[in-house]
Amino acid sequence: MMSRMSQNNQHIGDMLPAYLNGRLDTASAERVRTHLETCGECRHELVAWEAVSGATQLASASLPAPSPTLMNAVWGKIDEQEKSPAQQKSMQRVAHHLWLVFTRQIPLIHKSI
Amino acid sequence: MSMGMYAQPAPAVDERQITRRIAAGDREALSELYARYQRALFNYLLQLTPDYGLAEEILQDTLVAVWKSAHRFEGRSSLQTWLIGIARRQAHNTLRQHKLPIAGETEMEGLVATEPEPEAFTLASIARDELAEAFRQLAPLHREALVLIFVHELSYQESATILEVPVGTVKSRICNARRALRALLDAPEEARQ
Repeated sequence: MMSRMSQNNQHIGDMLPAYLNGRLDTASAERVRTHLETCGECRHELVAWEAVSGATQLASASLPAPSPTLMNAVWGKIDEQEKSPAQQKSMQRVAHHLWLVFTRQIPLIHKSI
Repeated sequence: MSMGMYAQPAPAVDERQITRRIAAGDREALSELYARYQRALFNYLLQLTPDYGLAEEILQDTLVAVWKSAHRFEGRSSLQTWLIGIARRQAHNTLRQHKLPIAGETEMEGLVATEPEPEAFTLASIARDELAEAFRQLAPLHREALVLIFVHELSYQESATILEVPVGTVKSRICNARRALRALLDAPEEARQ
């Protein structure tokens, strides 16, 4: 197990994005905070990641929203897919019925010949 | 669960409840889910394709897939992570059908740099607008990783699940994205047009 001292001496650059977005567990976040108190290099790293994070959020905020009628197209696709199996079953039932009618006519046709 | 800049209260119990209602055929529930996650999903998809119409088509297919597979959501991940995973698979299917490039398929992943880099000082000194403009010019692969971490505020593990890569790859990808951002800012003005 790494001692607290050697952990504090180790740069924590790869933890900074997760530290910024608040997704580090409590112990890791505490380790980052402690390290930042004494490491100027990592503090500068944090500032750089803050800039990247801010730019990402700014660029994302200006993206357009989807069309307000988008859900209509979704329901259309869902209805089409849900209808299709039912229609297929219905067609199969009709075909089966016609086949039965046809096969029952065969003896009659045979007699009439 | 955090939703980053799209943050809305979404306790885990609601997430299970809404997917159960969708699985039971409750259309109102799918509309509620759409209202809650539309911006987050559409933003994510626009990182994978700049084509607004295509992104809408993929979003539609994502919701159809959610309608059909809501019964499979077990709450092991957050609903947002599950939805973005579905959106990503739908996007890849559609991009393949249209013979368009897919982020990450020819990627060369580098090692994670844990030492401070010299560009750290200058990145922080550049105007936010200029950085945002450089972000828009990044490769989809890099934009996707940065958005998952800084906009959707996902953990490394959640991002790795969505991207179907190890956690180390997520870390190296966002470091590479930062380097690419730096390189874009270093490029002469005319080369960035």
